[in-house]
Amino acid sequence: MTDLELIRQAQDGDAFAIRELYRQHSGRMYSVVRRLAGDDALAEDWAQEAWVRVFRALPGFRGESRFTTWLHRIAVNSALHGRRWRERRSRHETTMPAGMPEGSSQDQTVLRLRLEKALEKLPDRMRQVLVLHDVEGYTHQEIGEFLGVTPGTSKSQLFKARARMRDFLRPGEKKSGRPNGEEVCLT
Amino acid sequence: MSHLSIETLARLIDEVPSAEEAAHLDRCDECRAELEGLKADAAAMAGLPEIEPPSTQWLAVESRLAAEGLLRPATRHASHRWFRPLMQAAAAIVIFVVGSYTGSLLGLRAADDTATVASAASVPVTADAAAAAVRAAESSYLTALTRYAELVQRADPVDPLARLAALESIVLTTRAALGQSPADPVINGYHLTALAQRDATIKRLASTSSAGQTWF
Repeated sequence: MTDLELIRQAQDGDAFAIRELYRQHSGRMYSVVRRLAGDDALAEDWAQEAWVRVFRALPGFRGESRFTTWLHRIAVNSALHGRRWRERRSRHETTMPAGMPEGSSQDQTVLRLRLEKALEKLPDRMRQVLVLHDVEGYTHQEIGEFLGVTPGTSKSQLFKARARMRDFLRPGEKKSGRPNGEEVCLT
Repeated sequence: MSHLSIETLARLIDEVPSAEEAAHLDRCDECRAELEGLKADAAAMAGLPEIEPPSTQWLAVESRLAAEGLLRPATRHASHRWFRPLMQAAAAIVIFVVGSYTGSLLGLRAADDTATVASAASVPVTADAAAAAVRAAESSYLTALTRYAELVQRADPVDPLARLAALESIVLTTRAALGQSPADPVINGYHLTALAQRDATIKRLASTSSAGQTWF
């Protein structure tokens, strides 16, 4: 069955087609939501909400954009505008990621665990921009539209986020000792 | 010599340095190394793999969709008719094995075992009933398996990182296999088991971390 046939059947509410669409895309959907949330419990709520929104909206999907793009935008919007953001964030506890990268070696696993853990430590807005830009590949223009900020603000947050990540990823999390601001010190 | 700020270096991952910045980078090994480190971080971020959702997520989504009336029974495709007896047989086997295994694992009495086996004897007669039975059995199986893993690891500690790496590898393999054969009950079983064990291992790592021990 082609993707288009699957989507058509899912639009009619066919349980098999819906489950198959879920199976095919759940990893990508959950990844972006989990990394934006920075928290397992929050991510589970949002991913669930995103999927319900997807299947509510699916009958209106006309194929004007790629299905994966459409799906991904719903996931990002669900995560960024989750109703329970504030109350859940106030109870935020740092936890391990719900899922891990492929584990062909322990070294790779450790590196990826460290990246995921460092991501969780970033302030919410920095994490959102970093995930959307460096992991998901959105432009600053698109991120600005998602977050309601200018592309310049998105850029500025990205550079700050990368700098923080660099510090988090240093052995022992020691600060670099460099100036933090954007100003350039040259001799 | 003053160095470029860390945020300036972070900007230079995407943007061309000014003449001044380029001149500084030419003569400053430390700043060049820092920029390379930032580039490596960004590349690693871009290469982060997908995160598999919790094994229970589909059940939650499915129940919400059903409650909203967004699901109707699956279309019976001619090419899938052969699958019905296989599904029924698989359900019966899973229920029997899981029932026996769960009972022995949790130390239930013989009477309970008998009841479990007796319930396994009532083989579902439709594919939907079989699928529901498999899901119920999966849930019991995963609960029992998680408990088993906890008990075993308490008695004979294993390296959780090595275990996590191995489980991740299994999850990826079974996921790829499901791409080719999405409804296969045996592959689904392996996949769910690996997912549940991976989640349990991650939770164990997290509890180790929160207890003040390092996990990487």
